[in-house]
Amino acid sequence: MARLAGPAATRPVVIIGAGIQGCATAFFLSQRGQPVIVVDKDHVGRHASGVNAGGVRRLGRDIAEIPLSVAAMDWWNQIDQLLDIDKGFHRQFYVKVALDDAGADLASRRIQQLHKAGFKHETWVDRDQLLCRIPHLTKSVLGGVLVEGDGWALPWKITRAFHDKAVALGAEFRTPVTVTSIDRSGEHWQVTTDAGIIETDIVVNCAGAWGGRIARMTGDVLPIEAHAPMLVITDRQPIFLQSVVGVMGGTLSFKQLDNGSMVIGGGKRGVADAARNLTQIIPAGLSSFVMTAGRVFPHLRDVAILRAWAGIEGYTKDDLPIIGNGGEAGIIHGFGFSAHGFQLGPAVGEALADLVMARQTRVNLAAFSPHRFAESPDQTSRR
Amino acid sequence: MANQHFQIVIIGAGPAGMAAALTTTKAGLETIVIDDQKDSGGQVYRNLQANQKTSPAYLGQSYYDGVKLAQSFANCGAIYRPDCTVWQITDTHEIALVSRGKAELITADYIIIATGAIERPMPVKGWTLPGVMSVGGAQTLLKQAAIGAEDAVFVGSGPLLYLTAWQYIKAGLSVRAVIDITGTKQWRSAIPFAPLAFLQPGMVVMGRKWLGDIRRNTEVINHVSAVEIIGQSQAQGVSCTLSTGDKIEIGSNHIFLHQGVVPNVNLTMATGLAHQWDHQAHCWRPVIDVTGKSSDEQIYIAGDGAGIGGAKAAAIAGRLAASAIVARCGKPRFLAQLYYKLRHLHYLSIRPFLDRLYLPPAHFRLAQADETIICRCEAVSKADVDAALDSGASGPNQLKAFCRAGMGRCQGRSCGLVVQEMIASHTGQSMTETGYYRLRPPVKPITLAELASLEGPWPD
Amino acid sequence: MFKSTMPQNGKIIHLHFDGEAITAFDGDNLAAALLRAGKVQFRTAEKNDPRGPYCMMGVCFECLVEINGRPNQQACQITVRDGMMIQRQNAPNNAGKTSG
Repeated sequence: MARLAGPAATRPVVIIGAGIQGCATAFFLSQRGQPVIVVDKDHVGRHASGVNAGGVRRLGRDIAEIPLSVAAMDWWNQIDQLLDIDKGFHRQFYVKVALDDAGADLASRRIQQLHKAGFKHETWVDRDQLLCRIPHLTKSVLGGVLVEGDGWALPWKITRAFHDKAVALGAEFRTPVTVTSIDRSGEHWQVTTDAGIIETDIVVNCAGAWGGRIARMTGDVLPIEAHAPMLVITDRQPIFLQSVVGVMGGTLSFKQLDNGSMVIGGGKRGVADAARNLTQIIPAGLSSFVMTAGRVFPHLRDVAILRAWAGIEGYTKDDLPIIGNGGEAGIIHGFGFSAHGFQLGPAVGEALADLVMARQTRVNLAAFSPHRFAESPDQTSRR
Repeated sequence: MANQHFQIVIIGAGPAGMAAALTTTKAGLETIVIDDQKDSGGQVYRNLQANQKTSPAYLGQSYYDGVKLAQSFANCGAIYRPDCTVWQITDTHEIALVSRGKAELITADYIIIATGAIERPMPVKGWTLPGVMSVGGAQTLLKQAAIGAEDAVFVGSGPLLYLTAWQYIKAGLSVRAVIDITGTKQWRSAIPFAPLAFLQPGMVVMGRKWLGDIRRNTEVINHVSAVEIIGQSQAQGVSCTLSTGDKIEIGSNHIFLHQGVVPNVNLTMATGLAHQWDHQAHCWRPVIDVTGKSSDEQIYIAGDGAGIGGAKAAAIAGRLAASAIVARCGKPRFLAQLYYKLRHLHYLSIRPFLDRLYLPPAHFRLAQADETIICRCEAVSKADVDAALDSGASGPNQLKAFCRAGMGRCQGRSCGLVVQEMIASHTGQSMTETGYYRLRPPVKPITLAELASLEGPWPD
Repeated sequence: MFKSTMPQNGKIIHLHFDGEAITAFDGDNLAAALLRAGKVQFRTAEKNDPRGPYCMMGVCFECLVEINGRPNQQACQITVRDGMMIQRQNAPNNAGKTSG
């Protein structure tokens, strides 16, 4: 596979997708003086990147993702300076509480598993310590798995901030622009859109739930499914929570914003129609994760939900993202984050920028190789 | 728990919903009517049963015209569930509702949405001050509680304003002033359609009676180019700028605003039904066929929620939609449908005239002062919205992310049309191209415990 | 000031609004009862804006009060009950412009 050495290209790199991965990549490339054109069929942060739960966590990750997540955290800890914003990262801690023996058991096995792999960031806190730190937790909590220094951010604000800083550093964004085909043109690529053709040497595919479609245009068959995990936001309450809370063995995510509203996610899926940018809320699923939230914070019974929504996200078979060079020279993929890509964004952007410039990435990306699907087409889910 | 199933679910017990129920029950179709108020009648016939006992004359004959319909509805055999709020309709026609703290899912063969209208927002500086209400709100207080404010000032235009000011006068309240924003431009565009208005001479006569009584009983101020409400902790008065440039100040603690009614599209939009921008009425309305069938084969929309027409037109539309459904259930009502269609057209014949005459001038549809609150729920000002537009927000949903307008409890009911107009005006796009907020369930807020009650009781 | 336009002769019931005793009539709409008692401000919203009832039909969410400890109740959608304790509610975390 031919690689481009040194500063990547005289022609601007084309990034497809202006979610967090595309915007972060545009930022890092612009910082390094590489011209970029970002195209998006909608607008910056329109889908999963703009409407996710905003968790910034190393907690609960697949072991294969932890190094990337840790690398991303370096960026999160300086996000204000990086992007010229205020209070970008609400840094406190993230805890997955064990509500029953099964949860406690899972917790202990998880921590053991991590320690064996050399990771110490997840620790067990017992009931008393936990109730001390989060007084409103249900008294029947048994303890939890906690990571200090994790926290939350506002997804649209951060995605937009990467965009703004990238533009300030010279990146060009063209939205709404839809890519219709990607074709070899000698040594280069021709990206055909509904607003004209862009000639480039390198295409970076950060098209999220539409990443599979874009990949196919480059000759790569990368299986991805579009789903729409549901979230709700509540009316404002006096601030009682600074950290983020999940449940061991579940997919709840619970946080309180500065204005007092609570964002509750539950991993329950609505219905996604990626072709038409439509999602449907399923009342029974909504009810189920709200009930889980009630098990954790029973005092919130009378708090009103103002809005439910679901963002269109791309999921891979093994729940790990696709990050790496494609089958053809000049094609790089960075999509399929399966509902846990937001925190990884800064590190992914940096890594994709490294790949564009043919530099060694800080983190080993072998686990995310686009070629893993071709290797074993019958591979079952890694979870 | 199996969902309860009904052949017909009617959402809204105003004139359209009540009339529809009469037709479906007569045809033997199992019908349930859900309404979020405590009594039937919707807004136009609010508190009608109670008022029949005391019969305040000042409410006017058109109000009491609803008595027969309400009585027939009470006796028609439909299951009637008041105090019950629908918060979602799924694409498989499950209706999610909440009543007295408990959520339920019911299913239907056919749904008739008859959720009526809301007032067009009127963003003037100071309009969020206590003491400022919509004219509809003032009228509801007359109907619901028989209370009115002394020395109130009415500001705006449109039949509801004139009717309410007239009702105030008839109730013996002293009206301080009526500031009428209808301009000569509006008259000029409406006059060619005046002959159509005379197809309903009764309406014209009634309107002229209201205006005559108003002129005789209070100060009427015309040719106003701007209005501001003054006050710190509550409304103290109105300051209006005349087209001559002069300023008048009128002291009052009660200011009632109105610049038209528009379909309440929150439920129909959140349900994903197709909508179109109505250029004549300058508002959104659901896309429906001539019987009221929406872009969903199973869902019909009747009454002001489908397009403003008033109470009588709403009742006919309810009959029409119900007849179409009854026909689809195997009992064709060809003649009845034809009759309803013609009567509906007749009632709507005055709309081209009224819609043009009472379309608020652009400078009242948009806010004028920078400090004017645009999104009441989130206290977002005109200056805030302008800043978001300057930052590149090119649509209402993008704008939401920039400045929070539209993210509050009311889900855009008080700001959506204004924000849309501001964006269109800034970008040069048409109102259709600009679009509207993407509305999501729950259409009205529900509590965590209410939602969870679909699963079971709230944890201790 | 709101006043009655018809003679009122229902059963009298007692409420408290921000600690002050108020009389209302059985079956009264709560927002109407408070307005009749001369109360126009029901709450403070974000940025310390004083607010009161606006639409009387449940779509503007301005008339929010705390009733017997439960906040965010739309007064215009509620019928009075004897002994109701109503509080003006203040937006939590009222500390200038929110950016959530």
